Amino acid sequence: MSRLLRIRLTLALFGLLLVAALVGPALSPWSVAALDWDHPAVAPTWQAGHWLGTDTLGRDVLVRSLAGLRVSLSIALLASAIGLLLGGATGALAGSVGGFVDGLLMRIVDVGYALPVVLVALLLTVVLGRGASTLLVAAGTVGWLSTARMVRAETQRLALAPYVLAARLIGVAPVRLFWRHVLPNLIGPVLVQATLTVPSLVVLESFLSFLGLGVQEPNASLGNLLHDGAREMERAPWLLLAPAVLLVSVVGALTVLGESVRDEIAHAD
Amino acid sequence: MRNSLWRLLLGRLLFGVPTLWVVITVAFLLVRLAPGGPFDAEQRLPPAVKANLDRTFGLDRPLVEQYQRYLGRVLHGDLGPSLRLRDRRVIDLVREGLPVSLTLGGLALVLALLVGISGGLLAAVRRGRAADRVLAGVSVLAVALPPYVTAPLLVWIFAVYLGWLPVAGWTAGRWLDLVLPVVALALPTAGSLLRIVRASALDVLASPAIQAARARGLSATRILWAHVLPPTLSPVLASLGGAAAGLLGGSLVIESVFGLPGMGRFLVEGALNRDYTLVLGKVLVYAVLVLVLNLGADLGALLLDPRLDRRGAPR
Repeated sequence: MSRLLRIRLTLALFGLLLVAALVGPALSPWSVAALDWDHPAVAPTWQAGHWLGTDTLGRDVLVRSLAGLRVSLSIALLASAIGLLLGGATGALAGSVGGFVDGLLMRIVDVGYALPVVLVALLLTVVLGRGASTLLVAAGTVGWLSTARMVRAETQRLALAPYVLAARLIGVAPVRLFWRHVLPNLIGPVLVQATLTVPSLVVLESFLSFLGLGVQEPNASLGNLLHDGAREMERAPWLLLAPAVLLVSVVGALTVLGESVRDEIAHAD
Repeated sequence: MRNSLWRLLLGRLLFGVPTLWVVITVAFLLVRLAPGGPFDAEQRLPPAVKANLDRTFGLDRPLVEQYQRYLGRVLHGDLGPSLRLRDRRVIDLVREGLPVSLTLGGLALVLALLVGISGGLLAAVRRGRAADRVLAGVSVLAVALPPYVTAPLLVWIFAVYLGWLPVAGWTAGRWLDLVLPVVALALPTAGSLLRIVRASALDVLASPAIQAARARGLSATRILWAHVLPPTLSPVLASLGGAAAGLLGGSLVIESVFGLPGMGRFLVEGALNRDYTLVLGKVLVYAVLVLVLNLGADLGALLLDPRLDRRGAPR
């Protein structure tokens, strides 16, 4: 499969999942928290209208999975936006100013790397309690670190590029130099970074929700759906299967997409 | 070589100590600034009892004094008593849990390295052929499937359906207990290592050095082991610190799924019911582990690629 074809396919798959997550729940007669007392824990069936079955309380698995995907994706997208802005600003500052500021900021990043993400989330849970906001802060913290490192390295590389040197030579002021000549070239790598951060954040969200630190019932997220599904796996495997398939498709699509775009850019030079 | 090795060790030590201090301080402030306390149970305690408890654990002192005391204790290797688990000291809990977690994480790391490196090399050598495609698909699956999904699936297949392996639990010395947890924990790391190794090996295979080796008529096996493998491993070592941290996080989940008495035990509950000392102590131990692992990865990179020597210690 050629790389361009792979990019198109994964982009299409991601778009499809996004649309399904956004409009899917609205199209179904069931809602996320609606209990169907006549059909608790039924296997996937056409008759009762529960295409992917129901959970032990009679809630529709298809609707809950799609709604869960929406929640998980929203958290991941929002958190990576926070991380990219924060990390991008830090990295650009460290990379262009250099010296003491650079050293200080990068040491802060190094310290951040000393703690596994799950533990950062755990500490934040003590402060903020559990829920989506804690998740958002924890996930943002993670995206921040790697973005800061990447943007710093890229800024340093660009600062030595011939056209930037030329611009400096004709007397372009530092601030203008950054906005006009360096920043536009940072956007590409940052976007690639984003396509790789989002799937890792989807996994992180499901991780924390699985441990009971994330999105709380009756709201659905891929994490707490998987948690419930894993518990009922022997009696009702469809509870695990639906959210697992969604998780794998969205994470897989974004990972392959990000890697392919990165390679495409690297080999275009 | 000698010289820069010591420089790296010294530099890491000089950096490690302040890092740990920052981690302790930030973590201490975070958990203390939070509203609520460890003794706010659903049933309200009589004020006198609560005051007594607070006094016993020194929670009635000013925050600065508590911080100084805690820091002093940690320097003496004492992580304090657990606030919620009666008569348990945090250091004892760490001592019980650490061997289990280290065995689990260490075995998973070894397995992930074995599978990732050999699979990645195979995929690179067989680029574009069936083996490469299968490995590419499997590695995406492995990366995308979190361990808590694979774990129950593996349990269902191998323990419930086939009955070959135990479902869960841990008895010291029963190695069969460890098979499923280690495999479930290693899978995502193995998948991402495989992708890294494949990309890196493809770059190396295209390099003039390999062309020269082929031109000199060296055997394919010799080229693979002596000329392709070492440079391929550099990015692997660079990613090892992050991978190890990921394994530590993953082991939390795996331990809870399989009921293993590791470091993750009591930790989530500790965070929810504000067992300050327990959470702080375990977080500190995890931070030390990550720093040590990163140091190991840097040392490995230095031994593997002497060129890093001339450029100075790797960051």
